[in-house]
Amino acid sequence: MNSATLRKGLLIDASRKLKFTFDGREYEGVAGDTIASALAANGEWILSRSFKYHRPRGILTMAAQDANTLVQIGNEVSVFADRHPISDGLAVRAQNVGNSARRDSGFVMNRLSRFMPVGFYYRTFYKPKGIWEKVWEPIIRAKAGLGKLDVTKPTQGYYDKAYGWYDVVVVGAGPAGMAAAIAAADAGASVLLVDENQRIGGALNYARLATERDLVSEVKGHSKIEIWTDAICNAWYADNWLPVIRGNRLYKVRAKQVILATGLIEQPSQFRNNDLPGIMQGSAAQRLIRLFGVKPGNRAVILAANDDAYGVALDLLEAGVDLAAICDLRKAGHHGPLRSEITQRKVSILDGWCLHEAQPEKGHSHVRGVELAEIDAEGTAGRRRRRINCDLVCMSVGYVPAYQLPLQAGGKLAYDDVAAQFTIDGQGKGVLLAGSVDGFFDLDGCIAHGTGQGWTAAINCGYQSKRRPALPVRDRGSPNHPCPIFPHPKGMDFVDFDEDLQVKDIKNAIADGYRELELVKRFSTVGMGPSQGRHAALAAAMLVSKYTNRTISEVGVTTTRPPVTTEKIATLAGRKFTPFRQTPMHEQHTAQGAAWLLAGNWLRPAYYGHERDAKRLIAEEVVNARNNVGMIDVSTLGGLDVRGPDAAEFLNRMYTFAYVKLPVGKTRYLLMTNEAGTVVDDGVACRRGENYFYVTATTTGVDRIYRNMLWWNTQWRLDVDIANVTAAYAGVNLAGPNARKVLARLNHDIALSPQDFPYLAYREGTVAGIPARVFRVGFIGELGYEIHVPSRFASELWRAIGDAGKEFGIRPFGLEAQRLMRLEKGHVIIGQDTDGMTTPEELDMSWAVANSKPFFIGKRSLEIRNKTLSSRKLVGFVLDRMPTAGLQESNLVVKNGSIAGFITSIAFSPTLGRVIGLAYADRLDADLGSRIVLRASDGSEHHARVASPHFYDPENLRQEM
Amino acid sequence: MKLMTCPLNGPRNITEFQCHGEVHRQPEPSGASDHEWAEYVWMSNNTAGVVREWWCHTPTNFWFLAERNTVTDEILATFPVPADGPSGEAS
Amino acid sequence: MAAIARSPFAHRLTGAGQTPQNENVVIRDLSRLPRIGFKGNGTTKWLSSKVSAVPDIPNKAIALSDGALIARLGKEEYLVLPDPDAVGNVCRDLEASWNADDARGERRIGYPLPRADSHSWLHLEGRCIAQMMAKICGVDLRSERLLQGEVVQTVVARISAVLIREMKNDPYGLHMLTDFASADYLWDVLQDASTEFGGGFSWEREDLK
Repeated sequence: MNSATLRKGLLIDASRKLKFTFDGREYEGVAGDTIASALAANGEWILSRSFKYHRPRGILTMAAQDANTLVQIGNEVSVFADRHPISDGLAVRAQNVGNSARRDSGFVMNRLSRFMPVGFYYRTFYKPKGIWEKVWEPIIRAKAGLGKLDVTKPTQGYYDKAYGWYDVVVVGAGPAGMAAAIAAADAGASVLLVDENQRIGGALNYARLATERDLVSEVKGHSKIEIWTDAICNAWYADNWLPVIRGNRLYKVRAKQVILATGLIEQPSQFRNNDLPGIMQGSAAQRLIRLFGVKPGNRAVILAANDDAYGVALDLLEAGVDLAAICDLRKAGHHGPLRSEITQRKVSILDGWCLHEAQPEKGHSHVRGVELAEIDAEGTAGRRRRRINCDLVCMSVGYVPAYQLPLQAGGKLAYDDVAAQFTIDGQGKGVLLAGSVDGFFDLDGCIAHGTGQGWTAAINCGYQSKRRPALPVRDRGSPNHPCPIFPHPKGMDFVDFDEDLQVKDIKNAIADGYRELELVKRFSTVGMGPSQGRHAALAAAMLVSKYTNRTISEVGVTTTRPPVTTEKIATLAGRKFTPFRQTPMHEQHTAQGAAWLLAGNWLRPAYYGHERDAKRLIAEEVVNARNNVGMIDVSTLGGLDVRGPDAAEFLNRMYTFAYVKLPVGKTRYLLMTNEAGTVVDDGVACRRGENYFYVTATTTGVDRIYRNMLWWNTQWRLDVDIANVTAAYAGVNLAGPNARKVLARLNHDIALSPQDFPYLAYREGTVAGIPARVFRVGFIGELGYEIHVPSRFASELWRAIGDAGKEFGIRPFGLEAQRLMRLEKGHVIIGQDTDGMTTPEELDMSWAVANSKPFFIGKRSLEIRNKTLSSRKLVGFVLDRMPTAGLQESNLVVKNGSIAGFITSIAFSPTLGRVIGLAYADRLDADLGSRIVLRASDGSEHHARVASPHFYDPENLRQEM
Repeated sequence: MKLMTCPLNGPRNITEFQCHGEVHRQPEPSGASDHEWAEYVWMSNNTAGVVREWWCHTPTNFWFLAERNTVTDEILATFPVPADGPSGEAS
Repeated sequence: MAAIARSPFAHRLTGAGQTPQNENVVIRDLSRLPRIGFKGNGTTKWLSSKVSAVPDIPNKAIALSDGALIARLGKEEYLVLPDPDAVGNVCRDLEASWNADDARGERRIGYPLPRADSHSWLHLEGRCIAQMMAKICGVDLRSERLLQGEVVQTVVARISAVLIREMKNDPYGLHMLTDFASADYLWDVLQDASTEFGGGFSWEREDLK
């Protein structure tokens, strides 16, 4: 089959040789070659093996549209061999083969094909029970799939994304697309022209077409047109949002107007062995000749149903290919201009004949010849036959529009049974079609239509242009044969090459009762392979219409969804953006050896020191804070400035407690419920002035709480301003019996005595020379001061406190120690000790609910909910030691075999020497001293004693010192 | 990706926004029966057609209203909260 | 004030300094400069009485005679950025003026916002800024779309940002204010995004004083 090569083509530089390997064998290609073209130039036509029967497969489209050309490069699977360029040393392997594409042990499946009827997946593997998991699944997993991915190897390379904005995006740089781009740009629009090929021009580059205008040069010379080649617009999303893949970058392009000039997809004909290497679309042969200088064969037969076939014939003759015959499916009388050129060349033309069977070389490695048949009155292969030797068959029998993007954009596909042609209509606002995809088949019509649509797009963008171009009229002629399907009694007449589906498979699916195309698709898997029905959808619809006695327009076609073609996960992932927040003391914590924990999106020290000593370090941090003095960075705590004449009234409505009478210089606990009466946040309100509250909120809740406050006030319209100052204020909590002594050593102007600065008081002044908001709250249950300062000065504060505390043995403590000490005091963590139903009553926090207020969010719901109390209550519990099975948060509390609740917090308290925790339990078991049963993850059950959640210093003597 | 026009910031990708559900009137808490109140808290109309919704432009925390067709997902209008409240006449 | 204000980028601005390979993307940290915001009922009226002019609509900025920028972020919200080379201190003056008015019992004059502590401040300059930002921001910032003095409040690399196009045309300049606590994250994002343009952060040892 090796051809005397042309090797002069639009995309190649024959003087630059490159060496690459395919299945381990070395080949020589030239610069500009794709893998497929270089192999073809070497006479190597088998690129892959088919999915089910392992039949040899080769070039079908040369347009990266079919699964025949999927190969593996390194760890990248399913690469299009007819698009991917070769390079020196490139190592390519065939997919889905036993050893190589050329010799594949799996070809035995071809002879077993009669044991694999359509839908055999559904029929075969489900009996007896359990056989799927044990036997079939492992076998099929080993056999199925294309390519082999080594999941231990991460994807190499840098992938990222970028946004783009244009007035008009034109997809497809064929004649219509180029004309549209020029017209839009001429009218003033900024235009992006996207094409998946390496060169703009579309069919002008390979088909027998000539224009007076040099559209390519016009486009390239236009300052308002940006050209992206090798770029795939892989979907259309709402409001003209287009993902365009260019190399390792995914562009997210927003267009005011989109023009889809996606062109046509040439369709194969169905006859026996129509999948042999050497049988290809007419356009594929033209691409090989014009783009890559590869002679597609030595002796050809052309299967024709339109005038384009005669263009292919002329190209083949010019390339030095012998033309054995042209077999035209149409009855005599079709005479296009190109056909008359052929008739002058004395080529044998058989009008009204079809291709009945292709005959293979040994091992089905290539086509060896064809048997032609005269079409009888029923439109099937008749008795008159003729056998011809050839090594190339070109099919030019019809097209479907490349409808993927138009349909995603809302277009509806309809079929004109008379013209044997799809029409697309009704795509959304701002989406225009141009050229052959919209039914314009002649070159002049395409260009005129593109020009008109480009102009319209620019006008729709708001540009002014008076010269409205005339829109062409659609040619009534159609290049499509109504049904180029010639079933063979012995089968192997493939409808879907990806899935190895023959005519009889579709027929049998219908016989099994699946009459609707969508059901036939699911049962037979037609159109579900990598090429997504590009070459199979219409043929399947034709067969369903034929065997159910309906028209194609009645049968309809299946829909299409993104993506248009294969895309890599790495492309979708891009560069990862995971924001995190740090407090201004972050560097100092690092220097002190902090182990980090993520709280919301904040990085917080969990404890200070090495992970292997974590347990001991946390206990030491607790003991030091309890007995001496500790310091912790609490900058992540939410901070809100609530200011204005209605500030107190606003808090009164937002929170459950009462704030109107809170004196200036005092703090009060805050509890927030939502409209359903569920506890959603807590914090502290500090009254800085008559009209000024400084409010804290939980670290993870503050952004939501802030947004929610603004929402409520758009309705209440109180005279209050709310500002989220979380990041603006950093905070340190200085806590422990020696806290006052440490604070006294800092340069400050605040009176610290218990009388001057009592528990729950709020003061302002300077600490360590920094303006500070200071308040005393319970926190860990020791004498403590919370000091908030502007972020810019926070590292200064941390250093100053550490220095001042040195002589007292101050130690920083982390979030773990904080949580432990707060659990010892029975402070609940909203979100951990509460869930979507928790009421203040369940938490024993009715003291924080001012029912006398006329309104707060959740008040009305709580009135209703408190009429019938829930069956549960949050209780404290103690265990003498942690069971070996371990008990964790979310482990169940069980009672009489039923779930009564669950553990929300549990830890070993170094202060108390016992395991303490909080859990939801049956309300009837909430009395101190009751026994509750905790079920560990391994199912073992453990008795715990209900205790006051105020495990440590229940009289609060220590924090109020 | 959809575009939405923020009355303060102009057209932006929908990812900059958060929907807070359909506007519905809070009954007078003290006057409403338990049943009416529960209806208000828990039930939503789930209208097929044009609804008025709360939306927030998250980078600015700007709250506004949108009229959106829940069948076609077409955003018909966006506007600031009218002076007479979220159910009021769009200005 | 005894304590020294620290930029949230300070720990990244180390060593002798750094100069990007070219002028395509040059990022400078201005976080140590003062800045202030005002927000709430009456802000527009109050601020108009203190400065020569305020922007007439939201998302616009104007320059005062001393070079300071006043950006209007909402109906009643403003951000004031001083000129880095200005002699006076417009932020301190405005804050003092507000405190005095507040102490006198004037109401409906808005409220000051601690923008110097809530937001870091970067200045991005060069001919590839818009192209670089197109990798991390969904709003078109090209010079023909974002005019001088226009303000964009949006998301940059998944964090909220205020972007202000500088008044001068050449080179293109952008002020970017983002969450103070996200500075370390943002540094890596910007360094990565500007690499392909040969750009990046720029600072000298003197900047660190």
